[in-house]
Amino acid sequence: MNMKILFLGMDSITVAIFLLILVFSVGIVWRVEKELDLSYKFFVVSALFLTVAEILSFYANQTLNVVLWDKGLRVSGAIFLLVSVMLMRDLVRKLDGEKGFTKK
Amino acid sequence: MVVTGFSLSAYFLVAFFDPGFLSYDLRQKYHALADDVIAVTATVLDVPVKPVVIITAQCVANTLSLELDWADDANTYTYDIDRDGLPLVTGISSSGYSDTAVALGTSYEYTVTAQGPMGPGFAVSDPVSMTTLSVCETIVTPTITLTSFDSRSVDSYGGTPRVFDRRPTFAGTTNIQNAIIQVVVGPPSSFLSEFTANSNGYFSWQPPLNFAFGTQVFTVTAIDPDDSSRKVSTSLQFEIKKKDTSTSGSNSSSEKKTAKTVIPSVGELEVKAPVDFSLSVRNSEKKIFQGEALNIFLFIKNIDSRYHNTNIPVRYSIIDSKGNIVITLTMEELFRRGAEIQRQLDLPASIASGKYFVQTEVSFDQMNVSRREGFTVLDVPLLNLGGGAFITYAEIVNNLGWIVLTLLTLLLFWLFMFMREYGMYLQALRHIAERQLMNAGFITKRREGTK
Repeated sequence: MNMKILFLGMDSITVAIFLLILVFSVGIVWRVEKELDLSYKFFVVSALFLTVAEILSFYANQTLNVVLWDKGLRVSGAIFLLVSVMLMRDLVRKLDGEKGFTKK
Repeated sequence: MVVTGFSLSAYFLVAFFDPGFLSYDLRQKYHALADDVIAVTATVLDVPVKPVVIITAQCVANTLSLELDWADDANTYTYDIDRDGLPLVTGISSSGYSDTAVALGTSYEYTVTAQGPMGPGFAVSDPVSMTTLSVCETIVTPTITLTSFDSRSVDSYGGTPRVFDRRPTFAGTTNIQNAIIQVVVGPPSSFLSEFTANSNGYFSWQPPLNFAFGTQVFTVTAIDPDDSSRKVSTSLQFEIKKKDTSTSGSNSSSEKKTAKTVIPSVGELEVKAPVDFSLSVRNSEKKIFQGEALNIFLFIKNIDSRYHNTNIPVRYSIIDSKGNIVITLTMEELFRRGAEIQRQLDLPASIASGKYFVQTEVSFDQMNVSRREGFTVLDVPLLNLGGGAFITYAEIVNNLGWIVLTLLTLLLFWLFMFMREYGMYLQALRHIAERQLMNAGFITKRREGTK
C-alpha cells in the first residue's frame, strides 16, 4: 500500500509538471512572434501529446488500441519536440549571424 | 553406639583391675594378626586399544545426527572425541556418542582418543569422515477427521447423524497440506467428487444435487499430492430423513424402510465411476478479473465404453466461498477417452472479488461425478501504477471524496496559473504598446513607461 501511494504520488507530480509546462509554454507563445512563436507552438503541441500519453499509460486495461494511441502520442510528441528545438536552433544561429541575418 | 561405649568402658575397667587380662588379650590379638594370610592382587593395565570408529548418519524424530560407535576396551577409562581437529567432547565413559550438533548434508571428520588410567597410556583412532543426511523429515502418518456434518459437530449426533437437509455440508481436516480429496457417497444414488483441500488441510463438500432419502455412507479419502501412495480415508454413515417423518408413525415406517436397505459397512464403499476426468483452470495463476472469462479445461482420462463417444450433459457451476452457486451452466459435451474439453465461462463484472470454486458435474444414471477447482476473482484495476501496483474501481469509489477534492484543487490551481499567464501576457502587450506610443511622441513619459 505504501508503495502504491508512492507510485501514485510520483505519477501525479509528473502529470502536474507536464500541465505547468503547458501553461508556461502557452504564455511564451502569446508573448513572442515569428520563428520563436512557431518554435514554442511546436513545443506546446509536443508537451500536450506527451501529457496525454502519460495519462493514457495509467489506464489499466492496456488493450492494443490504448497501447497504440499511447505509443503514437509519444512518437508524435518526440517529433514535435525535435522540430521545436530545431526551429529555436535556427533562430539562435540567425541571431548569432551564422545564418541568413547578415544577408539582410 | 551406647553398646560400644558400654563395652569399651567394661574393657578398660577389667584391664585396670586385672593387668593379666590386658596382657593376655594383647597377646591373642598379635597371634591372630601374625597367623592371617593377606592376599593382595594387582592388575597392571595395558595401553588402551586404538578405537575403530564406525559412524552412521541418522535422522530420528526430525533430529539429524551422526552416531559414533566403537568397541569397548577394559584398558580405557575415558574417551575424548575431536571433530574437524577441535574437541567435541571429553571424558565420556561409554563406547559411543551421538553428535546432534550437525548441519544437513555436511561432512565431518572425527578422531576418538582412548585414555588409559596411567599418564602416557592413550590411543588415538584413525580419522573417520561422514556426511550427514541431506534431508531430515520424518514421514508423518496421514490422518483425516470428519469434523462437522450439516453445520454440526459429528460427535454431537451421538451415533448415525439423521438430518432433513438433503444437501448437507461435510467438513473435515487432514494433516496433508493441499491434499487431493476424493469423496464417494452412496448408495442408492452415488456421488463421486474430487477437489483440493487448502494449505491447512481443511476441506468441505456439499453435494451438487439432493441426496436420496435413507441411510448412506460418506467416504472421504485424502491423498498426498506429491505421493499418491500416501493416503488416508474415513467414512461416516448418515441418514436423510423425510420431512413428513416427524410423526412417530412415519418414523417407524422410515425405520422399516432403512432396515430393508442394504447398507455397505462403513469404509467399505467402493463405487466405480463411469468416467475419470480432471478439471483445471487455465487462467494465469488461477486469478481472474471481474468481467473476464474463466478458462476451464476438462481432460477425460478414462470413460466406460458405454459412454464413449457420446454427448453427455455437463453442469458447470461457480460457487462462492460460502457454498452458494453464483453461476450455473449446463452444456452437452462429447466424451471421448483422452479428449480435452475447453470451455469459457464469462464472469459478470458485478461479481464480488474473493475465492471461488468452479465445479463440473457429470450425471449418469444414479451417479454424479464431479470435480472442483478453486480460483480467485480480483477487482478490476482502473489505474496501472507500474510494478504490479493497481488502483481498482473499488478503491477509487472508497476514496471518491478525497480524489474529487484533490482533482478540483489541482484544476483550480491550473486555471489560476493559466489566467495569471494570460494576464501577464496582456500586461506585456500594454507595456509594448505604451513604449511604442511613447517613442512616437503620442504619450508622455510615465514612470512605469520609463522603467
